[in-house]
Amino acid sequence: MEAVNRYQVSADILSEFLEVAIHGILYNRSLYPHGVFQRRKKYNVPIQVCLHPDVTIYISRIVESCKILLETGEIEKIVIIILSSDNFTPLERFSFEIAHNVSHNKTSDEYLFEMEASLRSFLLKLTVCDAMLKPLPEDCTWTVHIHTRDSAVGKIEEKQTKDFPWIEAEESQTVLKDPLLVPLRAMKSDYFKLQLFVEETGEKGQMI
Amino acid sequence: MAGDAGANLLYLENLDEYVNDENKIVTYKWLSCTLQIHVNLAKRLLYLFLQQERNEKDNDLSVTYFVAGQHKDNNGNQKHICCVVPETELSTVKSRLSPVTSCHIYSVHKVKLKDTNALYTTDYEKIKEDIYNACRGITCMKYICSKQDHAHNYFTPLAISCEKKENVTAPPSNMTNIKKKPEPKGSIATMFGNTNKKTTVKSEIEETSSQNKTEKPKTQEKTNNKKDGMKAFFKPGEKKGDDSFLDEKPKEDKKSPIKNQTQIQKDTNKSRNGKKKASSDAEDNRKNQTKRRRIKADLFDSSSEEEMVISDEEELIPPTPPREASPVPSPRSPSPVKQLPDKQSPKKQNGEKRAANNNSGERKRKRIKRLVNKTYKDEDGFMTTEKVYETDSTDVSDEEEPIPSKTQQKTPADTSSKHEAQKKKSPPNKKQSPVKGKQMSLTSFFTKK
Repeated sequence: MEAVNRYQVSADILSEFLEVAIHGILYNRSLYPHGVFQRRKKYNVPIQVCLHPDVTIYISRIVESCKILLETGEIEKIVIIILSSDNFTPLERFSFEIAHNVSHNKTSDEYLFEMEASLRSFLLKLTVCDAMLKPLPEDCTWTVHIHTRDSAVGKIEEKQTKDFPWIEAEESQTVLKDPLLVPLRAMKSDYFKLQLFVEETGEKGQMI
Repeated sequence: MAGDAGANLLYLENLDEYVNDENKIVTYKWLSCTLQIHVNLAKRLLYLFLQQERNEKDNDLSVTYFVAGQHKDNNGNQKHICCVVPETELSTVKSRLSPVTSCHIYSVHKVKLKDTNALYTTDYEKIKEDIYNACRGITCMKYICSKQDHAHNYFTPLAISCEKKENVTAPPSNMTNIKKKPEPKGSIATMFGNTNKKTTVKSEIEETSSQNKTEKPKTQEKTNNKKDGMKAFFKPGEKKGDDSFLDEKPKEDKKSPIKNQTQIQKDTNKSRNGKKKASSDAEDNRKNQTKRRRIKADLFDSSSEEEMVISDEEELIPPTPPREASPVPSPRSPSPVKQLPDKQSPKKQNGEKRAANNNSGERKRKRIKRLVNKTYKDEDGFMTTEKVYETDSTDVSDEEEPIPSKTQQKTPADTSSKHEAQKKKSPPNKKQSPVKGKQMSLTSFFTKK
């Protein structure tokens, strides 16, 4: 019962954060014009949220389906991949590595203030990472990959909705050429551990 | 100046680390909080850092500026505008403001910010890290000064009293004797001697003013100023001496009954001093004798003495009309604190007491030191309760129990055998009131010295 609750809580928190983070990445990496974003408040700080209905629906569906898997602890990594427009090769990968905290030693963060602060700093790092990455070419597109355990496949088929199915990723989208890793942030809480890093291809400069 | 330059260099190195190595957004507030420096210094450092990076390293950093000024809108309404703008828009924003009241660097960072969200998040995060120390760099000098004064006053009352003595011309021998008593002793002893100090200081000041020395007013001012910290402990008694009793009383009646009691105790002290002046030499001699007796009695049979004092008070209270009028608790209540609340002027009291003493024929004085809880509001606005020794001197008439009279008879010129006898007598008394006995024996130890 305890374990189920912990997964449930971490799934709620992570899915919320994932939504905010995706919007943030889209804004910071200028995948959509800034005009379609609006300032909202989350974790007591202002964030940018895309207002385009198709984009928001797409993001919310991704998050919903991820949440189902997070509740059972099946997801190991969620990756937001920015692809080049011409041949859909990956240029950047924002990886959120998730591990569930097995230890039952509870810290003093009963009201999740520390967790909120950590998630805020993740968002800040996402903003700042712009300086550490090379600029993207125009008209890039993006997609989301999730890395799961083998056992998750059956559950996805059971629970996924018909109009939004997860499919196996193409190998061309998963492999980065000449990758360069930029670690951003890691956190550890009572419920889960989270690590964020960016990989970018070394060939990006040539494409610009 | 050289030290400042060195410190600035260190700060600039820190800044270089934050901006270039750690890729942080450095706002002036963040810098002020992180390095615990003043915001103005933080702004200056950011400016210096930017100059250094651009001129020497040719490093292209993005900067945001804070600009404020007056602006007239289309309707002709004057507005005061404050905004954070990127460097590229600085000139256009400035041109819109007719008098620019403020313009300084707000933040320096490597990343080219698309909005100001990150600036807010940076500051917010820093403040949340340590909310109590976040703004230590932003300080009010007035507050610091008052704090320092308070600390100074709190710890140096003794030193101040010594200074006074050095500056002032040699006072009469009696007073010097009184003064010397408290100095070598510890803090408790100084508290005991405080009432004496008050009187001596006043008399000194009077003397010096009569001699028209230039230094004296300064010393007086010094004492007034510096004693502020300790005033909280002893002031009520001192003030009464300076001001009229009528003015002070209504204020103090509002306070706790304990304070009232201390006031009265001190009043009785004063009355005692007044009497001293008036009394003849023979009387003084008598007093000295009684004093000696008392001291010895204090040493060896304190508990019995306290009982005696209390009983005397009980006897004295009824004849004074104001005490009858005041809401005095029953005279036999065990604590002496409750017995004394009094609204009457002490002068009247003294007169009546004198009369009572004259009737009895012989005059004795008892000095009692009591540990009293004093509650007061300190400079920071906190209610503080401290245990303070209060000196009380009361007139004692002849109408006494046989026990003290015996001790008086024995004491006059005496040897150890009599003390031993007293010691033997003391135990049964102590049994009657063990707590009081302990307290008195401690206090009497100090008075003897």
